[in-house]
Amino acid sequence: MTLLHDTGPSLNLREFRLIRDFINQFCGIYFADDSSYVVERRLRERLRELGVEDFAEYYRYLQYHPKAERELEAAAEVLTTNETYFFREAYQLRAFTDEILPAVRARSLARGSKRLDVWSAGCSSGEEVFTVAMLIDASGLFDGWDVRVFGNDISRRVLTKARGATYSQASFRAMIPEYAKYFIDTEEGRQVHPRIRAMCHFGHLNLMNQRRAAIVGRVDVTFCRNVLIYFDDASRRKVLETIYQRLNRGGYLLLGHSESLLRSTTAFEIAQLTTDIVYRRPIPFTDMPPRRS
Amino acid sequence: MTQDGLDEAFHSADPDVRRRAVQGMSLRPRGTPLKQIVDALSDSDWRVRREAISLAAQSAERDALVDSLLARLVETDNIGLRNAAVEVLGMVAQGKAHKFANALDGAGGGAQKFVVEAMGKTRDPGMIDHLEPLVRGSDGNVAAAAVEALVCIGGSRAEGLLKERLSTPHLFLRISILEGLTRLGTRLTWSELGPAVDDAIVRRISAELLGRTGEPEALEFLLDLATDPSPQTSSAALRAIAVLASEIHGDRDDLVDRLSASNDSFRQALHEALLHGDTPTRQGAAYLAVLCRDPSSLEAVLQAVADDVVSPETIAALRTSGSELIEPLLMQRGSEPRVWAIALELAAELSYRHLEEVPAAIRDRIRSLIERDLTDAADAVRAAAAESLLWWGDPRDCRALVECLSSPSHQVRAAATSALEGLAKRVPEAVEEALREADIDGPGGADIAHVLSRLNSAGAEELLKRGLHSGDARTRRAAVQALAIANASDMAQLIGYAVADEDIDVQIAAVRTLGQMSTGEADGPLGTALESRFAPTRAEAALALGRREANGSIPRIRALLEDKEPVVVSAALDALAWLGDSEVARAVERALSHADDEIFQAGLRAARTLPVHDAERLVSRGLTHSAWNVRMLAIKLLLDLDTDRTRLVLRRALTNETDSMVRHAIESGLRLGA
Repeated sequence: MTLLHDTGPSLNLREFRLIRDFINQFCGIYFADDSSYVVERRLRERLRELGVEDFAEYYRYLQYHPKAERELEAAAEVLTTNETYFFREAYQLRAFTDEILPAVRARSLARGSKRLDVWSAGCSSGEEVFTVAMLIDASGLFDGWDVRVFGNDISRRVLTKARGATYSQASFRAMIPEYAKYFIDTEEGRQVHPRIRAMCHFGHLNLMNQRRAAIVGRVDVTFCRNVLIYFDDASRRKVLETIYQRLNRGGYLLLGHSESLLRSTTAFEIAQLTTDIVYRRPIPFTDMPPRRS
Repeated sequence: MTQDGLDEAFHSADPDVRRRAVQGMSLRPRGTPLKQIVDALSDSDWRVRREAISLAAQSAERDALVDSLLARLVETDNIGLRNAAVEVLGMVAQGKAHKFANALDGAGGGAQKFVVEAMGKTRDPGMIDHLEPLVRGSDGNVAAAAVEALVCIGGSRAEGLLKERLSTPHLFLRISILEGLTRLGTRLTWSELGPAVDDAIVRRISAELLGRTGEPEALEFLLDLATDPSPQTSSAALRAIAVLASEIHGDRDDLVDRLSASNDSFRQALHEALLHGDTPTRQGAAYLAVLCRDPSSLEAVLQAVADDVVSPETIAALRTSGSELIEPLLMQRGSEPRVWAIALELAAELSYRHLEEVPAAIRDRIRSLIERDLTDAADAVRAAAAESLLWWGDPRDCRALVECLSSPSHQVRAAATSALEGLAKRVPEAVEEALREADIDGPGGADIAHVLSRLNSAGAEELLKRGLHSGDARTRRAAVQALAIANASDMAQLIGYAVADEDIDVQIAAVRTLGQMSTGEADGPLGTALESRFAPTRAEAALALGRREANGSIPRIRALLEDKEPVVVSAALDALAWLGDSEVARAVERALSHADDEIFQAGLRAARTLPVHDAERLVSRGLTHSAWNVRMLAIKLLLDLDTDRTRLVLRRALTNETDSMVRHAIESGLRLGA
């Protein structure tokens, strides 16, 4: 069973829709009808692993088996796309460094706090988490602060890779040379410097599980880039509600460049920055500093 | 928040407070006054307006709301309100076509556009009568808006109207129509589309429709668009050519020859798309590159395969390539592991398929590469080498393949299992010999059991029995399944023990295996399984006894109709129907008023076994179920019954059905039968 020779049970449209909807309810990922062959190919591995004969039986397994929840995680694992790299969408990261970080710093200091929390929701193999930590470190704005960058993903496999913090060339396609100092060359690839790794934390979390998301605590900035594009509307709304709850007032939400909240939620306000448009959890009028005349 | 609190918050200077106030209004038991809804829809902040849209959609005063919003739509200059009004009307104004017609009469050209937009958003086919004269009208802007509205509504009538207007001399309108038909997924014939795309600007937006014609006349236009400087146009054209190539009516070879003879600019565009296109573009480009047998794109095609973005057609086309591809494939050694893995596997397959055309030196080289790569560090390469032994394997390889079965990689184990299963047909003794030393208690125990099941020998059976005692539940389960495949004799008792296994999957496998055995010895353990603490095991046992026509089990299976787990109840009902139990009719009635979809479906299946008159009546109830899959089952069963009454019921159901897949099932079923 390889990419070239992948034989096994066929997934008909009826079974595809049943399984697709089931997985969608579990983790929010949504597959259009024309991607059924991708689902078929990727899930065959699971059928073989479980000793299940066909997709109808697999659907029953997901519905009724005592280990169904574990299997849903495994299915989500093989069905999710995990492609990412360091310094993805550089213009947005510039906005993060030049405008968001100073604003967050000022707000924290006003509260008498020297702590910065960033969440990378759907962090995949960790490149975004480490990128954010490097940017924070390089900004020099948070020296001596308690900085925590937390990344979560539904896939245990990518989290293992993230914790290993060692990457091959494909992760460096948009690398900015001045940040090379944050990596150490090893036989397995380039490894993130221990100082940066110490700022970063990872956890297994399904974004659809609102209760469990409480482990994230309150954060100042959330990156959720190119994650919600794989979700359907209802799941997107649910995840955005979680993100909203986890953000401090005035905290920022950064989405991928093609993503918008327009049809999903009204809870965030738009923050127009110099090089980007991002979203922000509104600050009540009463909390705002008085205008200078 | 109290009523007064909400009203006060609604007038706050803070938009977020106003937003929350509007959100809160939706919880009012008596609803929100129309004026307040309209005020909220006119708010200066988009977030307040968006909440107001949800609020308006819940309004009980639909008629008054539609009248008020249509009036605003015609009068207002407030863009925010106008957009919000269009959206709300789209949500609440179904069945109100006459109100729109009146609004159109009283509106000028500028305002008509917005009314038309809202008509489209309703998706109400009743609007089409009023849109038709506008599409034919002289105001180009209103006609274009009407085209957009028809596209939103969709359906064969809207599509027909759009097709009729394709010959319009107004370029802007024709572009709107072509874009609309593209979005609707319409398939035009070349004779319908050809005259409409005589203009270069029009062709640029028609790539998808050109591809969908499936007619070779569209190819030259598409080849021209594929080399367009705009990456968007070029990508769309490449995707369209791929569709054309896979759906072409007539001789595909001519099309492939034409593609193969295409110029450097086309090949350059293809290569760019393969490397940098989005997934659908890479998918299309990979298919075309394989069809054209373009060696310069080979690595990029293999990369696309490795990235899992190519279609099954592309894989099939690659596998039917000729022997000339073998050497270019072998030159990929040194590429990234996943790319090399695919190249090796393909080269191995092609060299086997074209054995007589391949020089001995190449064959030897492939063989030695396979041997070396069986111990490669990369799992993908090891798996590819193992898979290649499906063609090139001989007794010497059995030992190395068995070693692969203890790999922690699922992919490597699966490929080695498949190669060993192939070898088991040709050299069973060598496979058995190699497996004798294998560790059935190790990580590959389940895979070893699969291979053993193919050997059909006393030695293999003995090894499989050892697997029944493995500490790994996966291996025990696989051993049970393998003993069934191996058709081992006198196993009912041993497998019966597995019904009492602590692992549910072993239990289920044992129950299924026992269900397939002809010996009466199987009935005892199956009866025990009806009392398992695991619901899926109870369900499987009921099904197995039903299939075995074990009439003596009827009372115990009937008792399962009271089980608290839906999976058990539905299995019991299926089993009783197979056993022809006299209580089925009553159980069906209960099942068809049950909230659980699975029980309801079991009720439908069981109803099908009742006398025709009852079956027709009871199965028809499934057609109005809220779950599409239940309706699909009802359709299948009604088509299966195939009486005058069921055909009539299905035709009626077609008029109310909204799910496209279900509609298609009814339409094709009525046309072709079950």
